[in-house]
Amino acid sequence: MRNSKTVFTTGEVASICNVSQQTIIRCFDNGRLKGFRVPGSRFRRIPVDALRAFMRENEIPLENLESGKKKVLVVDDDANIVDMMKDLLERDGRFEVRTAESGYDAGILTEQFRPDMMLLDFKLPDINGNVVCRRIRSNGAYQHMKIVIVSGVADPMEVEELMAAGADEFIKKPFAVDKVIAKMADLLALSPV
Amino acid sequence: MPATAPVSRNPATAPASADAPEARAELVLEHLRQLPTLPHVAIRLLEATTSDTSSAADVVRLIESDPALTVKILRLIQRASAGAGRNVVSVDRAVVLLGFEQVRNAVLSVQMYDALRAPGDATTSKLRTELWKHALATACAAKLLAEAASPRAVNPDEAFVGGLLHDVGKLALETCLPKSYARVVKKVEADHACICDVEREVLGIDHTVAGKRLMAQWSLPQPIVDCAWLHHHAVDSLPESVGAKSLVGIVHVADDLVRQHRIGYSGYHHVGPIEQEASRLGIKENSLRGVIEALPRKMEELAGLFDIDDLHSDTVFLHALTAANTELGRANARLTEAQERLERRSRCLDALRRFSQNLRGDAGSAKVCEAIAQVAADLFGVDGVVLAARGTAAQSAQFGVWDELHGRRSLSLPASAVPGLVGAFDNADTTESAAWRSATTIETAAYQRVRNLPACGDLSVLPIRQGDRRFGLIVAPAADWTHAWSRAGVELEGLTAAFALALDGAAGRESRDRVAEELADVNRRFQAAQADLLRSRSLSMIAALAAGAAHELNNPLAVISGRAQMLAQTCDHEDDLKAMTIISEQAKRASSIVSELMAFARPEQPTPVPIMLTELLETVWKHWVEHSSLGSNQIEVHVADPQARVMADPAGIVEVLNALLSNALEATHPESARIIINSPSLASDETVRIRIEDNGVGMTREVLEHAFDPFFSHRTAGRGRGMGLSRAQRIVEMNGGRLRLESSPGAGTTAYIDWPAAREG
Repeated sequence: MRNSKTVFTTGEVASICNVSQQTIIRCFDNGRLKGFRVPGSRFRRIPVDALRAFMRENEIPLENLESGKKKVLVVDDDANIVDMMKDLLERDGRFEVRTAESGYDAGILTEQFRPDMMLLDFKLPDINGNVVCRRIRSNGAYQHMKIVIVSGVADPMEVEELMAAGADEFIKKPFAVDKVIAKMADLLALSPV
Repeated sequence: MPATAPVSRNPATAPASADAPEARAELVLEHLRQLPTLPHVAIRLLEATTSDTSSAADVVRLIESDPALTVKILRLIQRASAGAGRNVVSVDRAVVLLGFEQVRNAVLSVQMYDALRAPGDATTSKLRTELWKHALATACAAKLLAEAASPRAVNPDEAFVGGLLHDVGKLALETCLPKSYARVVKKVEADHACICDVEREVLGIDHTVAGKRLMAQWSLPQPIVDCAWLHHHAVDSLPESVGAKSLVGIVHVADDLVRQHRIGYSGYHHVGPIEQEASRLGIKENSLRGVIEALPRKMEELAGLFDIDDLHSDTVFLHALTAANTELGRANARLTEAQERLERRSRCLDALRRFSQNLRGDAGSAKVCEAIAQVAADLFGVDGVVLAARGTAAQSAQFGVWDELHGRRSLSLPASAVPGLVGAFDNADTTESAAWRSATTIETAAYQRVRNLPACGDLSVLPIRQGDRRFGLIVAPAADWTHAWSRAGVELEGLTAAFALALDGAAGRESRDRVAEELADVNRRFQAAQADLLRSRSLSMIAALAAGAAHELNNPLAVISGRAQMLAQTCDHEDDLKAMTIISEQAKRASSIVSELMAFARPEQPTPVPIMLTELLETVWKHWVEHSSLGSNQIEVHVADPQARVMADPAGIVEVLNALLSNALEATHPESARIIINSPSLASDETVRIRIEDNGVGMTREVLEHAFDPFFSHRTAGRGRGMGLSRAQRIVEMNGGRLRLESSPGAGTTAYIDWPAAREG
């Protein structure tokens, strides 16, 4: 899958950005497009982050870079919840879903999978949701990731705290599934199905 | 022995007042023993008087043996017989002319006078002269009385001697201890006390005993000794052993008679019933008058015997008259004073009577202080009185005030408001007496503070004391009356003691009451705190439980509900779809129970704003009329104060009212239900009360006790969760109010909500 690639050639970048390869090379060489040369050769390589930054900078639609699906990471220590969410989101068709059952897994997957959105339970076995929120928000690379807390906690004080730690939305368990989908689509600026 | 033999006057042996009376008496007797013995001539003369065997010749010889005495006697006789123009030149001739007895008496008098003359003292003291005058007068009177008595039971000459010597004890005491005796006389004059009592008090011995001892020492005949010893006794009261009762009686009457006419000094002012005594001795009333008239002349005859010049009859009378007058004046002054004292006393008694009438037995300090101030103002006739007492609370002062303008009132001030006053109660001088004195600056400042006066004149203070404690101070403007009351020690003492008792009683009652009240209050607060602690402990347990349950339960509920919804999305069978929806909804409901529990245990902090009570109740009323079975005539709203506003969280107060109304509705039958929401006017403007009254089935005691417990419901299982009232109570409490229920089976239930009122502005 293209969107699972992390490093691109100048040709691939030209194709994604819908411009000539010469333009890409020029941009690479004058530093506007960040990248590296393969050691021992002159071949230029561009990491996905640099490409995304470049595309955003030049207002090139990201659609060609993405699969069109939004990447969602579901983090919950309850396997039943994880399974249900995976089923629910995949059935919708607009989401690419990965799951994690601990804060540790969630960290690794965030790095690898670079999700657009994280559905996060407040109480995890190894770390609390608010800490996860803060960690993500303190890293510049994940500024655009949406965080939605999905939790059974009923204490409004705790909810408030979570929102202050950087969460974008709070959904209380149990929930109406269609409302959850609607909220997610809204946050990710997805067009309705 | 010469008449002027020196008498030892060792000051060291003078009686000291600190000694015991017996010891002092012994010292005095020691002094008496050192007096010179009676001259030989006198003793022989006395023997001659009492024995019939002696002859005139013997007496003449005796007198002639003493040249100085002879000269005196001749002078006496010349003077006595001056009217006759006879020239008496010898004692022998004198005896012939005047009679043996007359001469003998004269000699005896002279001899006695010399014997008891202060040795080496040329000038005779005024007191001594007066004492002698009295002795001489009594002697003359006794002789005249004996002559007048019918039958004549006593030899007039013997009576003369008895009278002459009856007060010899006084002379003796005066001779030995002139300074002490001067003190006796002074005290007798000041206190109007019986001289015998004062003599015993000051010297340890009185003149009758001193006289008796001295005469015994002189070996005088017993009847004469008895006269000196018993002359203050009435004839009837004389002991059986006394042989010469009539003689003693005559001397007694003569003494009284002379004292009544104030001739000379005797110091004993009480005069018995002379006429009665005299008639017992056979002396008629007119004879008595004759004796009195004859007395001055008789005395004049004897004057030459002594160095006393003023024994002329006119002078004697004049002196007697002056003395009587002075005495009358004194008596009058005493009477006036006694009357004043009586009046003061009766006023004090009257004041105390009114004080006790005005005061209920259980009156508090404030009332007692007021009553004292009023009674004091009335009694002392002042226009304003402040009564200061120790306050019931520590470091405070209680005041009772009375003034003409405002009547009585009381106030309590902290010790700091009246600097120094409260402290002075503890440090008051324990010898402080119940008498008016000038106010100190501290007391003046307190008086001004309490009466709210910028300045005031001099003040007088009367301490109210009992034992060594000061209970209060009466403070009033100083005036003439304070002087008038300055001598009313006993009256003020009684008055203030009564005030002290009243103050002490009130303070005791109050402190007892206060202790009891404090105990009850502590007990109540302790119980409340215990209940609160229990409740808050169970609440925090519920909160912890709910928080855990929320997490644990909501996950499976989310799965159940989520899966059901997902199934419903793909389900095309209508029954299945319905089942899926029910599953999903019930899961949500289960979850909301947990949320409610959580909200109860850990509620949101209210945000109170002022709310118009009429508007609020109107809204609630409308809601219930529109959304329940209640008709508009089944629920009433009454608000006493249309301007009443509560300080409340809007959602909170509506929830409370709804919970209570819901409870009321459930307790009633839909057709007969009648609910009254009433907000009566309260005395306090800090609280707004809302009363919700229903005519439902009411609650038993057991139900009422648990009405506020979460999940408690007296309704059949499954209907409602029993959180309404518990939540309502939580909300009211969090808004600073109080919620309580009154109910009994069949009598309906009334809920009282006391909600904080919104302040103006």
